[in-house]
Amino acid sequence: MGEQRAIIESDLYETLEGDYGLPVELIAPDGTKQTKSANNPTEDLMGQILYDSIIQDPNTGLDIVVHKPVVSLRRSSLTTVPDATPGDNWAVRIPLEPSASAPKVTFRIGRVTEGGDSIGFVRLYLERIEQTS
Amino acid sequence: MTMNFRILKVSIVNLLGAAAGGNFRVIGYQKQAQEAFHIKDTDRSVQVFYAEGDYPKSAGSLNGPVMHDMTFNLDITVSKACKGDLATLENPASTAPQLQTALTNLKIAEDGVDDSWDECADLIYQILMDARNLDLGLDPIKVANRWVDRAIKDPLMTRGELVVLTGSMKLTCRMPEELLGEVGVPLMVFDTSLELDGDVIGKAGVYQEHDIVVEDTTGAIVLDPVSQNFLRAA
Repeated sequence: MGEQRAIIESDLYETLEGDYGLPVELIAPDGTKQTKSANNPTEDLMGQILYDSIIQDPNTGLDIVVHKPVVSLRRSSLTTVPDATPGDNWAVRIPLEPSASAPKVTFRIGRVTEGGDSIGFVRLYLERIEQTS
Repeated sequence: MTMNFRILKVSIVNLLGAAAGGNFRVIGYQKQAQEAFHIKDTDRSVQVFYAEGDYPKSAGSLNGPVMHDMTFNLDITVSKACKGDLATLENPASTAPQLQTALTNLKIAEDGVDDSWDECADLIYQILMDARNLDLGLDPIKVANRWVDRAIKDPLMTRGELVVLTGSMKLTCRMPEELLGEVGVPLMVFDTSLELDGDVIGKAGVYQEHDIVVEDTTGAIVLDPVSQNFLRAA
């Protein structure tokens, strides 16, 4: 079992934080910011980001592309695992486009799902924030 | 040849579009140039469509106009994002207490979208039920019984990075419909009057003899002044 966990962790590192990973910053409700990985404090906190999703429009039946950023993070890389408890606002900063050097934009974490304790990753569904006028 | 419910639908769209004042968009309405400050919130749209029609039968329906009890649905769609002090959240130099304050004061999209939908429904109700709009933009006395019967709000749903709230308002009214003839066939008028010399009774109409319609008025048929019968000329 222990070996299996190690394999899963290794796989998650490759798939979420490896060559395709993008730098992510997590901001907890108390204002603390996590920018480095809890597994290796010399590395940036990385995650897999999907920017757009293809969904079927229920009215027309046609496929449409919706801007819907979803961030997947390795659970063991987090110092605190975000949740979407009502009243607690978590924020996350991700690159504007799929490039590590792109400027970052801030989103509220609207929903968090976990793939089960043994799989070891969390998926964040984001909501856009606009400046209060 | 257009039925009145179609004319009324266009009129409602124009009425709402003219009165929207940039507070919401009306789908189908051809927008005119507007001042920039009028466009304060363009993430709300209203779509007007004919949803249902009843044609009640009455004693006068046989030859007269047909009454049409029509129902229009006005679909309201509102989308919102969270609102907050984005400048602080985006600033890398922000301290933890500053970030905490910004996150605490964040107005989540679910709250904003609900308020926005309510405001939009409020505006539409005020426009449609305004006494000046009794005729829904048409000539006076054409539309009867206009009434906003119901407003329904659908459950919240997230679509992408926005929260979307939909719902509808039901508008009912009554108008007569005129039956003008078969679609696409121009009406042809046949003049069946037969004017005869010496016809003291009046216009004789079509003279028939042995199922043959006599349409000749050049003197082939004459009226016997004694018997008042039509006679074929010798």
